[in-house]
Amino acid sequence: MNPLCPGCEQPALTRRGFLQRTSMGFGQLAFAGLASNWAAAEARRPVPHFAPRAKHVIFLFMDGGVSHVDTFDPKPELTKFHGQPVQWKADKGSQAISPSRKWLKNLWEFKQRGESGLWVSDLFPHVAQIADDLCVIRSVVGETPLHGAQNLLLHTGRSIGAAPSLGAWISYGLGTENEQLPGYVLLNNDWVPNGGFQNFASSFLPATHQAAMVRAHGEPVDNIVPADLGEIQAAKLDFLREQDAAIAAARGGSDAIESAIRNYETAAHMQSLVPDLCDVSGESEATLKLYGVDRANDYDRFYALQCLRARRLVEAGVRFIEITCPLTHSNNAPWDQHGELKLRHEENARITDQPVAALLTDLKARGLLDDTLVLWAGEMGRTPHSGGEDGRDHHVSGYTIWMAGGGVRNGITYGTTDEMGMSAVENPVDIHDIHATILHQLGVDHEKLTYRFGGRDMRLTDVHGRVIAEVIA
Amino acid sequence: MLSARLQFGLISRVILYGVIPCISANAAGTDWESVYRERLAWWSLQPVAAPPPPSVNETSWPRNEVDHFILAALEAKGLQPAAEADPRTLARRLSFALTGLPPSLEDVERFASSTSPDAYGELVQSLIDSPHFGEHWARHWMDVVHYSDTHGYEWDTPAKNAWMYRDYLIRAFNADVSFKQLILEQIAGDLIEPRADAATGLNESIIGPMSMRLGERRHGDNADAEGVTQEAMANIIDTVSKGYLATTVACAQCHDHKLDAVSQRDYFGLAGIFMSSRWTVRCADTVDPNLAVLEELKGLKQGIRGEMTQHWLAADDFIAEKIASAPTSTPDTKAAPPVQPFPESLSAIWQRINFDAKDSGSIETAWTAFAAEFKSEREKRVADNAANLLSVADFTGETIPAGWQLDGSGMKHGLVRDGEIVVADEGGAAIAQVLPAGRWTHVWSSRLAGALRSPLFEQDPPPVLSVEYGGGQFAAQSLVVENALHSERMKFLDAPAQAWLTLTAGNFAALAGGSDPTPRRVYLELVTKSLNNYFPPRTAYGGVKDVDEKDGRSWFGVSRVVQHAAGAAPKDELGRFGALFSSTAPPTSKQELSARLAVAVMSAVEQWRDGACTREDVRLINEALAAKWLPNDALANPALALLVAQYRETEKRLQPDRVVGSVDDWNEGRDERVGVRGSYTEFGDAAPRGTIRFLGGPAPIAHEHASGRLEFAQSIASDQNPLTARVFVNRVWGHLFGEGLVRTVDDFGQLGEKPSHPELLDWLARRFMDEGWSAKKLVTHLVTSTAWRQTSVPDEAASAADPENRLWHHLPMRRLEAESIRDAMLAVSGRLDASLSGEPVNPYRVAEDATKRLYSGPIDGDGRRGLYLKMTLMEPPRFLALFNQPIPKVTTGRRDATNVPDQALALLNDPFVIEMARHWSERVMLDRAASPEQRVEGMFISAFARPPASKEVARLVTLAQHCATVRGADTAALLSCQPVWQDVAHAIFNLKEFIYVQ
Repeated sequence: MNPLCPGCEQPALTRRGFLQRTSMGFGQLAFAGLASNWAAAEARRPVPHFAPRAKHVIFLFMDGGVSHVDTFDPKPELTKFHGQPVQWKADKGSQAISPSRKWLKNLWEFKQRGESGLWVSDLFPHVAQIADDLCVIRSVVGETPLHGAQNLLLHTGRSIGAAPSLGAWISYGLGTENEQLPGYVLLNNDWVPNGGFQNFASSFLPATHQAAMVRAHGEPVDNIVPADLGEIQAAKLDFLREQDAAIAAARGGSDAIESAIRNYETAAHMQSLVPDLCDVSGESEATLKLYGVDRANDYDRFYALQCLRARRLVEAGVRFIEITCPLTHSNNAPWDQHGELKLRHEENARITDQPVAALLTDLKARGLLDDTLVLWAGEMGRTPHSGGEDGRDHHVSGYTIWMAGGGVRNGITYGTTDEMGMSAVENPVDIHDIHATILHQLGVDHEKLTYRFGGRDMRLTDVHGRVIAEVIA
Repeated sequence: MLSARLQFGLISRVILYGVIPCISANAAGTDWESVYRERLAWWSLQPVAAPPPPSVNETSWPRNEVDHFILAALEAKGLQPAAEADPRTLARRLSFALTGLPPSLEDVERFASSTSPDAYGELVQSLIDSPHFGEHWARHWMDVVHYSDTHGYEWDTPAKNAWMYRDYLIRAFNADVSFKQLILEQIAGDLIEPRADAATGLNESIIGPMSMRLGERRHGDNADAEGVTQEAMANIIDTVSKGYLATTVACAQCHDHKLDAVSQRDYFGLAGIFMSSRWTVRCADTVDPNLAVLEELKGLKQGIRGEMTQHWLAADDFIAEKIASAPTSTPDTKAAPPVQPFPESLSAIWQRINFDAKDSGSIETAWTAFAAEFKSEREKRVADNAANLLSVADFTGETIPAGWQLDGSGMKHGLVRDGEIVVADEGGAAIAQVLPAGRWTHVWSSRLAGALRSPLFEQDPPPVLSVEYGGGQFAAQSLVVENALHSERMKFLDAPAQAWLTLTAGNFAALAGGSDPTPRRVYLELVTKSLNNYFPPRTAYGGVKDVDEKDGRSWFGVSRVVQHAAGAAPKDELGRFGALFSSTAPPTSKQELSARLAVAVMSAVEQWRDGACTREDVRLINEALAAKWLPNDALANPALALLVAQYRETEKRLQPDRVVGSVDDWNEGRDERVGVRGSYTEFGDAAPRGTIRFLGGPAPIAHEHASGRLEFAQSIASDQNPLTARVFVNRVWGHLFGEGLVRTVDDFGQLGEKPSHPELLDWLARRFMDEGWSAKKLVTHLVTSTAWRQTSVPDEAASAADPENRLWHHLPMRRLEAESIRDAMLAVSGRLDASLSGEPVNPYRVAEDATKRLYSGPIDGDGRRGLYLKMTLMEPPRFLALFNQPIPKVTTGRRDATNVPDQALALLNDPFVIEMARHWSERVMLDRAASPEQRVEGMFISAFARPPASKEVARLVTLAQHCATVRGADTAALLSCQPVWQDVAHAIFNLKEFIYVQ
């Protein structure tokens, strides 16, 4: 201990203590005159091209590929031919099958649910209860049966390379409702999916549109917890304001310096705003229970927490929120069950099913589902056949995703695969179509949402994409 | 996970790197020829002119020719250039521009106080001569080639020693190697006269091609998913054409370029070059550093061999007894005699005859019957082999079989005759094995590298080959399909010497989920760890553990390769037992039988002693060693123990080969066919491989089977090329002046911008070429101009007339690049480790992910500069990414300088910044300052290279006092309160002046 320096011994304030001192409360956050660079970007933002049906998107990313024939696309023929060698003619959009592979029956019983009679298997008992809210698309066709390629395709519309993420495009296109918050928030837990951070990048769009990552556990956002005591930081900020302003003035003004100065104001407020948003302790007991935030297992609790935060972020005006699944076991991706299909699909379902259903229920109860489009999608499905008894492999020639809210039809299925679940045979859609449809619901014409890069007008959907009018309410 | 049952690639067209596969502008039958002619008129395709510097009115302003061009343009608009910046501003600007680091205070003071007219030139020269010059300019070029230490995608596989390429660039820029030479090296370094670096002994040229391998790369090959290799080649074409030519050739993958004079044929002409190149790991040593050590090892091995000879010969006394103690039967021999293999070892013969003797009643009859069986079996096998096998390659002699390639010092020193011993590198045994004639990487040490690569195999029909080989410790074999980088056909070797490996080159049925009907270019590769492109592979592949990655030992060897029909693999001809069964009198007892077998071993040992043993003798000796019939105790006597210990110590002094991911030109030369709309499966005409038409087009290639890469490199590194020099000088201008003369530094085509000063650009390009493509001369010339020495405060009238400063009426203020922000904190705080080069340091991470090899490093990165932080493509260093270090997937010649709140949050709260503030504060505690004012002044000068104004001192002291009060410290004893000075240091890091340079 340095006797001349008692400050060394003073315990640091807890984060909560800091927040109590500096938090501004949620309602006070629409500061006037705090134009950040996000706001500056507004100037270039294209206005919605037509009246939007949705203002927000929540993307529930089922990383690794959920088995479509075990969840939303029942195939009784698989049970009938279970264990028999696969004889399947390879055609375009399907695959050549090794004769050693055998059909594998669905492992969870399918039932028709709700008034709509939508088929949902027992793997998802909670989601089954909200089946009437779902718009299930059973005919998605990808490009390459590889995680990296499909993840990037799903996120950026390109299977390789460096294109902006869907969330970045939406943030860029629609701007933010809340200048204090980023337009694209990723609720993650430091888990890097295949394809890397490229999945969440702004790429050639301005950097403000890349995903801001919010951890389930620990410091919610990098550098968001102040390193200093509140008063010390305040003293530093006062000093910075004064000295920087003097330097800028001495130079006859500098946009860059002045903008950087404003960033400090914004940053200071973010330090309280973001943790406030992430803190669900003010939510009712019933809400916490609904999502399963009270569950004992860390994975369960964290996923539930992120789902609940997603609703709070929608309320706070964030445009695009993505939630990733946790990886619980030594594998390449959470849903990637080449083996241990029964065990791990059930584990993933245990983690995600209740919170996902709760999120929809909660959004609906609060009247938020009407203008929030929820997308539930992995990057691929899984093969209806297997080299073993308890695993399915990569499958992109016809698999299932679902949407809900945001002006899409509910309680319907769209598109079909053949009797074995091998290929999309009716109304096939590709990722660009899904992107185009999401943008459409947000009031954006996917052909008009462009950004000039390298002299070209770049698009999320490239030269592709069809709005799937049939799924729109 | 890439399933072993991976199906197939549905890639019918590819959209790469943000390139729109746009509709061809001349799709509707427009004649490309006339379009091309028209486009050739574009400014950047005209020859570089030699314009004289224009005259100016204000003749006292220009210091050199650059100034004539700049001032003439300003005068033409009636505008004034800005005044000259003050010396301290210039010193700081110069230091960051040339080295990326803040200036040394001594330099600043010397320069600021000097009245000599040469002072500025001397300061420039000292910075040009600084070793940090090379680091900074290497980093600029690393943006162009999108340097990365890993390949991202699913597994973030390491880019094979990419850091050696980073160090190569540092050395090259420091030594001012002609940029023309660097172009040749980076594209075709394997095909030119090697350039040796005197200090390191490295073959610089072979390191250059790593420039093309960087960035996102997939695992697998074209037989797994069509297009894997083509995608990588598209990235190379994009990088090379943008990097050297500022031309977007990759736009022409699917169609003729929309606006520039580049056709789809041009694209596929280049694709043919790169598809015809092997992406191999190469040794980069120019001189063999181990000759002296190898001489010592030879001597020691001779001694060990002498000792072992005595021991083995002495075994004559007891070997028969040892053989006789071997088990005499195996339980299942009787159970299934038809499938019981014919005995191929002495112990199997021992068991068989003993077993048969139980039935037939005597050893004698059993022997006689078996001898007859042996004779016919042997004859049959010899006849089968003679009929079936066609020798493809023999590695038992000096001559390397035509079409095959050896690399690595293990292979180089690995040629042995039958009977060479391998000294065990650890454990109780003296001898690891005895080798048959061939090439073996571990003859002297399993720490030496080796590679053996075959010519391309015929594909129609694919041959069946058998390789007589041995290998272990994660040496690997792979059938490389279509020059894949990371072949998942790689298998690790685990076989003793004299095993057979049978391969069908092109049998991909199991992998493709069906048959792969496409004829493929395939070669065989056998490699030790270090020369393996795919080692370490993706995590857990083939059971590789961390410890295996770190252990440098690995070995393999080959004797010969034969070709044969399927199912007619080579058979063991059993020659080593010929003498055994040729005697007329059968043994009559077990004892006699064991004596006969002992004689077989001992005759082999005698042959070995006399240096006359055969490969058959070698097998007998290896069997006897493995069965412990022959003594092999390293501690058998003090002399042997000493020799073995010395050998093991000496062996550790061998320097492992220095290896790097590079390229090779073999016999792959083949033209690509134009992909219909970029398809990988539908083709049009063949496109002769060669350079872009506007650079001369395909020219005769020196060797029929060569890729044409050398000729392509020469067409770029040419004084006649209208683009290369212009593009490079424009990049350098951009780094120094904030924007290029052509602001779109990576695109000189119609989608780019035109030059602000076309004559100046040409004048600089011409001079650059005339001065031997010297980057240092170019930089010196630019920074000694009056134009560069202007202040960053614009004249109001000039700003109004030219708000974008296209005429350079001032030198724009700039934010530091990401690495410089970090480096400046390291330097100012005194934490900078100024040493050059070396393996990358992991960035600090909150969470690690072992499956993706994302590990966390120290918060301060061990004090190393930013360019030494590991660029993991999967998750680049976050602090640097925040300040716009580009994602290393595509060429980024001009970095963004965004201005976002996250940067403020990082500077306020990031543990690195806090750590640097702490470090700096601890250092200033020792400064013996008499007052807070004095200390503040010292810190201020360290940070900004200028003394603070009194108001600035007052602000900082006020801050210090305020912080002390909050901390409850005694303001009278301010100087000794470290946390307060950490606060001050932290606040200074957060000042805009810290991250901006004027």
